[in-house]
Order: sequence, then C-alpha cells, then structure tokens
Amino acid sequence: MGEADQIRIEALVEDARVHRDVYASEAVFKLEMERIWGRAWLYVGHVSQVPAPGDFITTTLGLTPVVMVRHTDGDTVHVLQNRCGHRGAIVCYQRSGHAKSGLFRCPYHGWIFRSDGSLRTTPSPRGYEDVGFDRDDPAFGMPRLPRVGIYRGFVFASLSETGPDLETFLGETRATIDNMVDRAPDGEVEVTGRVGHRFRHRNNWKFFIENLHDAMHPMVAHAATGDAVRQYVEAHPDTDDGRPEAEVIAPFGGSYDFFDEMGFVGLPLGHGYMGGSKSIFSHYEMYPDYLASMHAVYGEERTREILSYNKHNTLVYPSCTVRDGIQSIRVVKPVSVNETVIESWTFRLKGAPQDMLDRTLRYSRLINSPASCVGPDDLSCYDRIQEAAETRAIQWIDLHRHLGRDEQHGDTLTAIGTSDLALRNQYRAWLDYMVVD
Amino acid sequence: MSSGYAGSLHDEIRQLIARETACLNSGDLDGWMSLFTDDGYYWMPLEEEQTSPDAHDSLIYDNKALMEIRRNNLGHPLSPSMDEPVRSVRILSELEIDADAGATEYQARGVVIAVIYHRRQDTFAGRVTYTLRREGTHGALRIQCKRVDLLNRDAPLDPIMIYV
Repeated sequence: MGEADQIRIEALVEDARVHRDVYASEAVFKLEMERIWGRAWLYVGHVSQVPAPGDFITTTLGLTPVVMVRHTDGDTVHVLQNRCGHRGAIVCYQRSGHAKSGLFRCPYHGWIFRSDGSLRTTPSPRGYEDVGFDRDDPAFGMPRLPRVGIYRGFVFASLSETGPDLETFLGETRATIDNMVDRAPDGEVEVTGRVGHRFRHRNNWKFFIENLHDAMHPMVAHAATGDAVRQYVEAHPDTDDGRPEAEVIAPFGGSYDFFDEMGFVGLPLGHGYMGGSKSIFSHYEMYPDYLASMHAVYGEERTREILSYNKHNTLVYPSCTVRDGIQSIRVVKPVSVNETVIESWTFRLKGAPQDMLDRTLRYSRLINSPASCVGPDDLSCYDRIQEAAETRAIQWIDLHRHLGRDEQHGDTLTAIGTSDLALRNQYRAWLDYMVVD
Repeated sequence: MSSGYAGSLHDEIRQLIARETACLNSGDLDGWMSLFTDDGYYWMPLEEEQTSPDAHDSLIYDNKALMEIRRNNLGHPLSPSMDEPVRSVRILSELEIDADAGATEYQARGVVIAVIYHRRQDTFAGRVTYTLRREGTHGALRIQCKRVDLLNRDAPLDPIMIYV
C-alpha cells in the first residue's frame, strides 16, 4: 500500500460521518479482510461441536476456509487451513463430520493429513524422493492457524502471528461469555444440532453489527411485528397461547426511553454492549424449576447475581455477537463487499429444564431465522443503504446523534442507549485496524 | 377395508391438501389457517431427519398463534420488507397417502416446489409431510402438522417471506 492509499482510508471516517465507500468499495473490503479479519481474533466454534477425536466442523474466517478438529490426542482442538498442501484444493466440503482415525484425505490426488495438519503420506511416494521435497514443511500440510485460543469452551483463532492474546483481546466481553456459561446449573453449555441458521444478507458485513446497538430502529423498523403481536393478543384476550411469542417480540417495540436507559458501553477494539442491569431479556418469565436447580448449585445470592446480569448483544468485533440471556451467538461471515452470511447457533444450558431450551429455540426462530418476521425488516433496511451507497445516491452516512456527549472511563466510552456512539465506537476500531504505519 | 371407503377417504385427503395449496397460492392465510386443527402447526426443520423441534432450532415452527401473527404481519404498512409485495405459487406432486380406515390419524407425503417473488424470484423445494386428523362436531378432516424439509435447509438462505 502506498502512502496515498492510507490517507484515503483515513478520509473515509470522520467524527460524525462515514463515507459510502466503507460499504461499497471492493478495494476497502479487500483491505478489511487483510487488516481487520486478518488480525483480530475470530470466533470459530464451540468445543461441544467436536466432542470426540477426529470430529470436525468446517467454516470460514474472513475469506479463509478452515477446519476445526479435535486432535487424536483427545484434548487439543486445532484450527487448520482447509486446503491441500499439494495443489491447494479444498480438502473437505462437509459442514461437520468425523475424520476416521483423525485423517483428512484430499479427494484430488489422495494426500493424507493428520488432525494436527501435518502431512502423513502422499501416494506413490517414489516421485518425491531425492527431488528436494521436504514433507515436514508445514506448507505441504494443512497449516495450523498461527494462534488458537479457547475461552470457556468458545474457540477463537487469529490469522495473524502477532497481536494481543485472546483474553486481552476479549477484555470485558469475557463477562458475557462467563454469564452465559454460569447460567447453566452444570456449569457448561453445548451447541444444539449440527447446523445453525445461515441467513444470507446481500449487503456489507458492517450493517449487521452496526444494527445490533442501533437503538433508534426497533420501534420503527419492527413496529409492524410489534403490532402484529398486539393485534393477536387483543383478538384473543382469554388465551395464553401467544404469550411466549409476545414475550420475545414485544420488547422490540420498547420506547426510546427504554433503550436510552439500557445505555451503551463502547469497549476498546470495537467491542461493545447494551444493557447491564436492564435489557430486552430482563422481563422474561422465571421458570421455578430452573430457579430451583440454580439455587441448588449456586445458592440464592449468587443465582440472583447471575440472572440479574442482562446484556443485550455483546459484540466481539468484528466476528460475533453473544446473547448470554438467551444463549445464542450470531457469527458474521463476510463473502464479498455486498454479501454476508449471518450464522446463528443456539446453546443448551446443561442441567437446566427443557423450558429454558424452548425459549432459546423460540427466540432463535422468531428473531434469527431467515423465515423470521423480524430479520427481513432489518435486512430490508441494510439493503436500502447498500443500494444508495453503490449507486452513489448518498455520499456520507451520518453519525451525529449525541456526538460529544460520551462519558469516558479509561479506554471505555459510555452513552445513553440511542447515541450513535454505538456506531462511532466501531469506526474508532475500524480506523485503528485499517490505518497501518 | 372396502375399496369404496378407502377411495373416498383418499379423495377427501387430496381435496383438503389441494385447498391448502390453493389458499397459500392466493395469499389467503385466514382460509389456510382454518384448515389446521386447533393444536396444528407448520414445521420447517433445519436438519435432515430432525425428529423434534424441541431439541434443536428450526426455520419455522408455527402454532396457530404464530400463524395468526404472521398473517397480521404479512403486507403490514409499517414493515420495511413489506414495502414490496410478496407473491407466491407452489405446486405439489402426486401424494402418497397412508390412511387406514380404522386409524385416527392419516399421513400424506409429496414434493413441493414454491416460487416466491419478493424483490427477486426465489425457488424453494422440498419434501412435504402432512399429518391429518378429524376434528370438530362434524368430524371434518384437518391438518395437524405440515412438515416441509427444504432441500437446501443448511445452505445460506435468503428471507423466506411466506410458507412454502
């Protein structure tokens, strides 16, 4: 990159606005893959998806295809580049499965790799004798990602050899992961099923994570769904049938004051969350069986502490957003400058009654599924901005709301919930990643 | 089982399901809902051979309350996505019917192809399984469960704006 290009990147983000190129420029997207997605810790999966040696899942980190596999030592979880060391073919297209004896075999020329990524054998090995071929060179294997870290069962990896360690990177967002796990009476969570939702967004990856903490949109963009639920409840005053659904959808129609009070916390590296003591989940019914099982393990005081911790959408920038209160995680998979897949996974609280999983699954269907009533309304709004950015109908996207009214606590910025700080904080990190010396 | 009785039962099942398809094709969700039993539901699983909507996520698992909420939402003037129309047609294959005259529950299976127009024209296809039961004073045949297993359920999916 020449100096001129760096100055151009810096010029895309100002205090109160961002240039349309952050959403519409292929050159910017390419740099993001290199400088943000190529350096940050990215969410890969959960250890419960690979319980036995040889179990694996495949996914992408940024644009890089990877395999997360339980090594034959039974203990280590490796994240390998999903490509053959020979001609570079993708080794495995299965979304998840079991590699027999922990071995992956490339379907093109039959090179075989161990679950730590090393090359085990090439067919008809004579051809590589005395030709200067070093089979121990990791480049001929399925290279392990430079850094892999596991935090309470959640596996992250980085495509970069340098940078902060995982715990430092996660910072305060660790508390959200802690809280999700602590909500399990048995102290563990596990992913349900082998596949999660994969919701295609035909727009830039940043719209989804910006929308998470955009508290000015729910009462407008989700007014229809809120009204649809209200109409149902009014039409059936004598039944409880729609109550669980209303519990999930109704808070999306919360007032401006409700979201202002939730507040926003902008952490370093683009991370952030809304809520704390109050969130979209704080009015959820408490099931007596669950409470009893929590009391038995943690005692009343600690249980109250765990369950009163209520954050809405903790963003671990740039790759995932965690909802501790509802036990789900959504993962951002950029595809191109104007295509992104949002994956969602649901978790079972081990030791909790079925009611809790029912609620997790209900929430996921109503909010995260491509067939949800709520998601397509968000999507429609991102599409509109993408179209305006690509057609140059707009030059700058505004971030003025409550500008200059943030409170600073060390390296953390806080504001009322409807402040554009939620977006400005992401662009603060975006610039730090994107502008390199 | 007399062949005459079985024949009429099969016809009754085919007629019910043809009506169901016609209601969806014309966007008549009220008429469509009335074809389900009170405890009826529409289920679109996320995984192959998923046995229950209670152990894992589903694309859709709507009881009648949710069907009605979805009906209220369809075409709602405040919805950003409904700013553009949702039109759809689907065709159903010949049905394979399991219906013993003495049974209280019947099954019909087939293949459905739905074309949904909303901004783009998307095709959804899959296997469909109906569980049917008699309900009410006249013992009218109703759908207790319509299960749709999409071919590409585990692929990245664009929004599914109406029932397949």
